[in-house]
Amino acid sequence: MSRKEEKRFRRGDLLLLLFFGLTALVLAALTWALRGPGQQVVVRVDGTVTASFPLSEDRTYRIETADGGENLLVIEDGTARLTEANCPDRLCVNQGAIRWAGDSIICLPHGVIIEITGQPDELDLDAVAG
Amino acid sequence: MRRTHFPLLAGLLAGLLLLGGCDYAATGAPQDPEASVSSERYLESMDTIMVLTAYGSAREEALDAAEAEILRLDALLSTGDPDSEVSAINRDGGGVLSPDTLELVSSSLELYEETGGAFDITVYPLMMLWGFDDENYHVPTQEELTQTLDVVGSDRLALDGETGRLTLGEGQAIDLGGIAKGYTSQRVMELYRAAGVTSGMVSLGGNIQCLGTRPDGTPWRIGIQDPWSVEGTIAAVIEVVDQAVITSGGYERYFVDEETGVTYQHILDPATGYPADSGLASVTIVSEDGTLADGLSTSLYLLGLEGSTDYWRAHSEQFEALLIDEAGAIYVTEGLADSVTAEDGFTVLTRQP
Repeated sequence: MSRKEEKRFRRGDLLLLLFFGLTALVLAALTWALRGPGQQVVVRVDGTVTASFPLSEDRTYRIETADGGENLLVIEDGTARLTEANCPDRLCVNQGAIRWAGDSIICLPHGVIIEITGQPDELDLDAVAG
Repeated sequence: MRRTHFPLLAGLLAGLLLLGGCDYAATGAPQDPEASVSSERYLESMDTIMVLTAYGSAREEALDAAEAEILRLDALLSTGDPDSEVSAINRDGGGVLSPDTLELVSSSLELYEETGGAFDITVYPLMMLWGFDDENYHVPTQEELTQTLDVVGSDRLALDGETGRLTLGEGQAIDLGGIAKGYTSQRVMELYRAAGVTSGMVSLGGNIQCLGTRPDGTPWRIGIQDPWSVEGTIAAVIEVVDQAVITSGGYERYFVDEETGVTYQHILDPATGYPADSGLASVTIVSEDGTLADGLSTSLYLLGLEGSTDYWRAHSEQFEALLIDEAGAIYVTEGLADSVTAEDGFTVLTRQP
C-alpha cells in the first residue's frame, strides 16, 4: 500500500460522511417534530389530566372533583391561578399565580394539581424561592 | 481492500470514542439508565405545600424516606400540634430534648449569639400576641408589647449540654419555625444521598434545597420571587449546585389594620416587638447548610442592608446572599455574582469594604 493510496478519499469515506450528514438531518427533523406545543395549563385531578388550555388564552374554568371539591381556575395575561376553592385550608388560593413552565399550584384536599407544561421558557427555572 | 483511510475522519471518530470512554471512566460505574427519569411527590406539612423531586433509579425509595422524615419532624416541632415535643416543652417550661430538637435549639442559640439577638426562638409569645401563629391578627397596645417583650430573649434559655435538658425562663415559649424548614430540607438531601440519588430538589413552600446538579450536569436554576408581584414574576435567577436557596420577606405574610390602613408584616423584631422595618423587602441566603440558610434569611432581613453586609463580610465562608431593598434595588454578595442574572441588574457587595 503506497502513501499516495492512503491519502485518497475513498468510497468508504464518502459513505461515512453521508452517514454523518444524514444523522444530522434526521436529528434536526426530530427536534423540529418533537418541539413542544405552546405552554399549556394542565389540570390534574387525582393524577389524571382532566383539562388542558393554552396559557396564552384568557379563560375561567371550574374544576369539580368527584367528592364535591370545587376550584376556580383563572387564566389571564399569561398566568394561571386558583381564585375560589371550597377546600378547608385554601392554601391553593394563597399560592397566587404561576407563569413559568414547571410551576404548579396544588390543592391537596381536592387532589387537584395545576401545572404549566410545554417548552421551557427562556428562564428555564427548576423552582422559585420566596 | 475496502478500508477507510481518511485520517481526519478517523481521528475525529477516535476522539469521540475517547471522550465517551473518559466519561465512563470518570464515574467509575455504568451510568444509571434512569439517571434523567424523575419522580415528584407533593405533600402538605409544616403549614405549607412541599414538592419533592428526585432523579434516577433510586428515586422512589429516596422520596419515601424523605416523606416519612418530613412527617416525623413536623410531629416533633409543630407548635400547632399539642402532642409535639415543642408544645410539651412550652407547656412544661422545658424538658430533655430529643436529638433533632437538641440540634435545632443548639443551632438557634449559636445564631442568637452570632446575629446579636436578631435570630431568637423565644419570639413566639410575640407572634401569638400579633396573631401571626393563627391568623387571628391584632395590633397590640404598647402595654401588651412591653409585657410580652419581658419574656422574649434567648439569653434566658438554659441548655445543659451534658443532659440535653432545656429550661425556659418564666413565661417563655419557643418556636423553631424560623429554622425547622431549612433543617428539614437538609435532612431530605441526606436521605436522597443515602438512597443513592445524586440529583434532586426539594421546595418546602418556597424554601429550596438542591442536591448535585440537574441530571444533565447543568446547575439548577432557581427564580427569586419579586416581592411586589402577585403574579409570580421573578426578580432574579440564581444558578446553584448542592445548595439551599432560602428567601424571607415581609410580603410572605402580613395583614392590614382595617382602622388605620397600616400594613404589618410577619417578621418581628425581638428588640422592639414590632414588625421589621429595616429597608429590605426580601433576603435570599444561598448556603450548603440549609439550617443556617433558613435562620440567616430572617436574621439578615432584620439587620438591613448595612448590617447584613457587615455580617456577611464576617462570615463569608458560610454563605452568600441576595438582598432586595424597598426601592427594588438588588444587592448580591461577591461569591454569588457570577451565578445571578437579573433583568434590571444588581450591585455587587464586595468582601473588602
